[in-house]
Amino acid sequence: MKRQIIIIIIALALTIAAQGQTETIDTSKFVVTYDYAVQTKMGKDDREFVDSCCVALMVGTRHTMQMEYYQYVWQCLGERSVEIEVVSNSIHLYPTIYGNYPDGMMTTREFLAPRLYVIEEPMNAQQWTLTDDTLTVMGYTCKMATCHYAGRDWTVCYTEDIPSTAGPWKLHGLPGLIVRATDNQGIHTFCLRSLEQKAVAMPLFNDPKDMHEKRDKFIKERNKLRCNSRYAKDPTYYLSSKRGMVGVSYYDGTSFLFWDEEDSTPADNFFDPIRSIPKAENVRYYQPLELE
Amino acid sequence: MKRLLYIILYIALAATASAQVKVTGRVIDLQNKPVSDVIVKVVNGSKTLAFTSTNAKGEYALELKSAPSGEVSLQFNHISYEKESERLTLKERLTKVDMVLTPKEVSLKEVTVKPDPLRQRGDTLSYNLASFLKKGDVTLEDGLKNLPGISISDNGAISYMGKGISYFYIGGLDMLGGRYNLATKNIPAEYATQVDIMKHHKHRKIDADEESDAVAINIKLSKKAQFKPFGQPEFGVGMREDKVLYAAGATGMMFTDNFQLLASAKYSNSGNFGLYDMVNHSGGDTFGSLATDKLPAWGQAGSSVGESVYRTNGYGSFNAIQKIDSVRLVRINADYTYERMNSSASSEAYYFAGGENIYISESVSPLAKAHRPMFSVKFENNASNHYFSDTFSARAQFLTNESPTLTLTGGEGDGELNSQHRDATSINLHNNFWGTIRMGKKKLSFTSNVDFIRTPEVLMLMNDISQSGQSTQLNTRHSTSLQVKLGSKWKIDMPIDLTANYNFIETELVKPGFADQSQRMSGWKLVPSVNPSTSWTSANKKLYSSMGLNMKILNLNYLSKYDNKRTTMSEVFAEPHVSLRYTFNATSELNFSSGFSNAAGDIMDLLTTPVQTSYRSTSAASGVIAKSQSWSTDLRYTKQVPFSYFTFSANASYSQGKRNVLSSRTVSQTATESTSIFRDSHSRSASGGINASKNILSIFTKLSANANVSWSSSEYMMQNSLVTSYHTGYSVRLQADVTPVPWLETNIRGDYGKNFMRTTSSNQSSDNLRCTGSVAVFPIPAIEIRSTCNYMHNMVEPGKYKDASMLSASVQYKTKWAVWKLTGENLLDVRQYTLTSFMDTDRFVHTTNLVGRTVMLTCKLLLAGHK
Repeated sequence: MKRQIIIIIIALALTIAAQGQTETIDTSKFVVTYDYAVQTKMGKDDREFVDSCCVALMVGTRHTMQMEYYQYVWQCLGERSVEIEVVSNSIHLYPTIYGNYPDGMMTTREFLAPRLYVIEEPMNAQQWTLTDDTLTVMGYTCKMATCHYAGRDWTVCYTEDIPSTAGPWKLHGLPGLIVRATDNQGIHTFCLRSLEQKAVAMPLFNDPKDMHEKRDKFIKERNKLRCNSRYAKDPTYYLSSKRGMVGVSYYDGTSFLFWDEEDSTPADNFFDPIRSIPKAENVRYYQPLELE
Repeated sequence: MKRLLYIILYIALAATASAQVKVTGRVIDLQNKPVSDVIVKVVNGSKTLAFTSTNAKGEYALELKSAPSGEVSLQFNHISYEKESERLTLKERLTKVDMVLTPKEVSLKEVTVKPDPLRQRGDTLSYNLASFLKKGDVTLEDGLKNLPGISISDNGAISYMGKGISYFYIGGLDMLGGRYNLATKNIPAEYATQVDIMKHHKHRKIDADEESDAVAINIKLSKKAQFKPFGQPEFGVGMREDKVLYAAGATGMMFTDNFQLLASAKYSNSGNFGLYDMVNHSGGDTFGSLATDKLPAWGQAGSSVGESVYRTNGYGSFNAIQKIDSVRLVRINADYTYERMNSSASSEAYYFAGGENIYISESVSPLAKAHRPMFSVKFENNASNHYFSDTFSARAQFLTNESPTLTLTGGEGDGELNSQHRDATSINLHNNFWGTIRMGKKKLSFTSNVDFIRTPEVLMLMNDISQSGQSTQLNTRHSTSLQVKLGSKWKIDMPIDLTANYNFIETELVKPGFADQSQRMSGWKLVPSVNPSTSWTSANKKLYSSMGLNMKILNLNYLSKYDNKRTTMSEVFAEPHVSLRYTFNATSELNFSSGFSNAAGDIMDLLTTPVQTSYRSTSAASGVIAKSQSWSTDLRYTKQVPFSYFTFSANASYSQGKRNVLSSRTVSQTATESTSIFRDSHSRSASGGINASKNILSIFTKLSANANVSWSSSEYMMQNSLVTSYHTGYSVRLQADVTPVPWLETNIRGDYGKNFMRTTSSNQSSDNLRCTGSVAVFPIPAIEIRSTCNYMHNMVEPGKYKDASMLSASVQYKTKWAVWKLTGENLLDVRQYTLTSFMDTDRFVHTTNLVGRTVMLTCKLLLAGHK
């Protein structure tokens, strides 16, 4: 029991510690939330399953910042009552993405057990093709655009009513806010949930333990690891059993974060064992947003 | 001809090039500062011909493949500035347009398509259990295991997202408290329609406005289960050492809106049937007292492999809850458990006696019987503006131990049979009151915990020796804590604790040829303590430090009734502690911790009159309150190499301590006397270890290795002379987990350890090797086959080793009607194994007798699904 409680407390501590707030880079002019749905597979029979979470995008004067919604509520709004949601939604491992930070670059902070990786890539990497189609989405007059990015073909709706180049995930650079985005295989979908004028400080998360890595290498290693179906069933298999270790386990569609006690004696959990967690029956397989 | 083609191509290219137009410029605000992220687009009517956005310098560059005919509009758009546009005709190949933007109040058309996810989700997740049931799931526990986020440990403890549940409700009523295994292991899965997982759960309605991280589960039962009694039979038969094994059980239940009842009974001589049904996840299955601690029972022969204890167990349990009205309820739980355990083992002891060792060989056949009745009643008034609850419980333990021992001293003769018998009866009365009332915006709470433990008699009969004891304890404890955060770097923690105990203990030893030895002590202990601590984190988060000072005032006042001697103590103890952590980079980290601690004894240290704890052992306390100080420090380094799935860590620790008493023991061929004398003793220890692991993704294999070394020295009095002993130990573990295909899991592990013991006049060592291999096969979902094999190679005496191999296997088959499980334990029928161990300077060779080959077939009928 003690260990189980520690797991959950430490999971929360992880969220705070790993995202130690030291400075803010901008203040949002408005905050957009998107429903993010991913078509995945589940269980022994590979039946299809739609998994979803909510993503919050803060758009400031110079920078943008986005993250999983409950992380946003926890980290940026300071609402501490969402601990369980933060942990339960960590299954999505949705990255924190800074747009135009540093200038001209996009910075992604993404978790791949056992640590957080920081990747920088240039902004405006997407070559958009605008179409003449117009439609109304959620009261906004929208236009369509397409692009090929990171191995997937994307079709998006954007609205010039909101003069911002921002969008969900790494999609950006259109002459209006992206309100809907779908990849052509129908695996990933972002759909506007709400838009609110709100001033929220955007914290810059960094930690000495962050691992700076080149984009291509990170994407390749991440996909190699997390797209392995066996990994989905037992991610702890790839983790050291050592204390001080951080890990993520998809368990029946839910995740656990582990971080052994910092101040226990070395004898505690010496041979431990994250391995003692039962294996998942109904796991969901990872579907990367970037294929390449 | 060729030249003509080149000319045509050149003209065509030149024409194309001349058609491309470029628009560049810079966007600034009224303060002449560049504005980034301005959307700049060329629009012709409603059609966007080209677009871009400004960079950090406010610059933009737009390219059009061909010059549009007529006038176009160049628009500048930014959320924080007024929209600007300029009409122009793009005839020139390069047009430069700069723009000054005027700030504006942001005014956006807000939209909310769906409600806030927070409100939408709430704190309760409801699952339709039927849709999660797999073929062959039998009990509620089987069904719960399939729910997202729920995990259930071997002993039945339920946790959600890794957090143990605080309450288990059926139809909103908490009938079973911590003994919810009775429900999860006995209610058919088909009877539960809905499972609610309540996060941030507050059992007390008055706490609705408070934070909570508790998780509770509520089970809703189907109508067919609600209004009529139902039950679930199960049985099993088996064979072990020519003896028939049997198991039988039945459970009856009734659930209505205002009344619930669950009664269950099980009995078996097979060892593990219904073993976990009565586990109390809130704790408190058994209890001890001063008298039973002073006069302990003789233990069973434990075994790290196989099973060495023959066990018969049974229980009867009755639980009911009645709702009086919407806020008040009464709960009654009553149960009775019975356990019988017996085993046998032999040991050869080489007691250090200065020069020659004293050799004593013993064969024991311990038998233990325990009867444990329990009754508890709880009243609760759970309203939104007040809360009162009172839980009274009464428990008793009737323990009988026997440990007949055949003793051979000096390696000669046929040995002597010594009888040992112990009876101990204890009762425990416990009352917990909790009251909270709301006064305006304030809430006033009062909690009271009173624990009364009485052992009227522990009687130990060892040959013709009689040792008895009795004790009474009244314990109360209160604690609180205050935590303050100062900015992002500092944190202060201030826990306060108060313990108040009254103790009474009496022992009496009647030994032929000796005067009766009795003692009678009583008194109280009061320990208020405060432990302020502070932590600091550097701005770059690389350095974390914490330090604290635990201060406690130990107040003791004990009176020895026979000699009217009073022992008092009032002393302040201070325990400083510090820890540091430095993170070099993403892959390596160094941790350091160090602390000083104090400990002091209690009434047990004043029991100077010897008590007989076995047919040949006596023990007596020093008569002074034992005080010890120790200082320990720990250093640890970890390194993890990313993407190679390789980790490495090393750790080292050191501690040293001092006590004001020295343990003393005198061993002869006929008796062992233990006591403590008032003299300082010192101890030191150091240990270190390295760990490495490597995962090979391609073959789904994990290899790990651990190596440890330890060293320690300690002082004690042996045969009336001071001995300093030095112990050195090494251990190595290698492990491989391989899952070559999804339906097959294998695990291989090898452990090797070697120990050295040195004193001024002796030098001893022992080593042992153990290998374990296990295989699990899942050919189809309904069938599960498991097998485990153990091999041991243990030293018995220098140069002489004994080997042992163990094999167990099980097959489980689930059908729609029943779950059948065939279990085979100790299939090779290995009846004993031998191991050498050290305790201080003494060497013991233990031979444990194992339970023989056991085959058991159990069946649980699934009646519920066919009603």
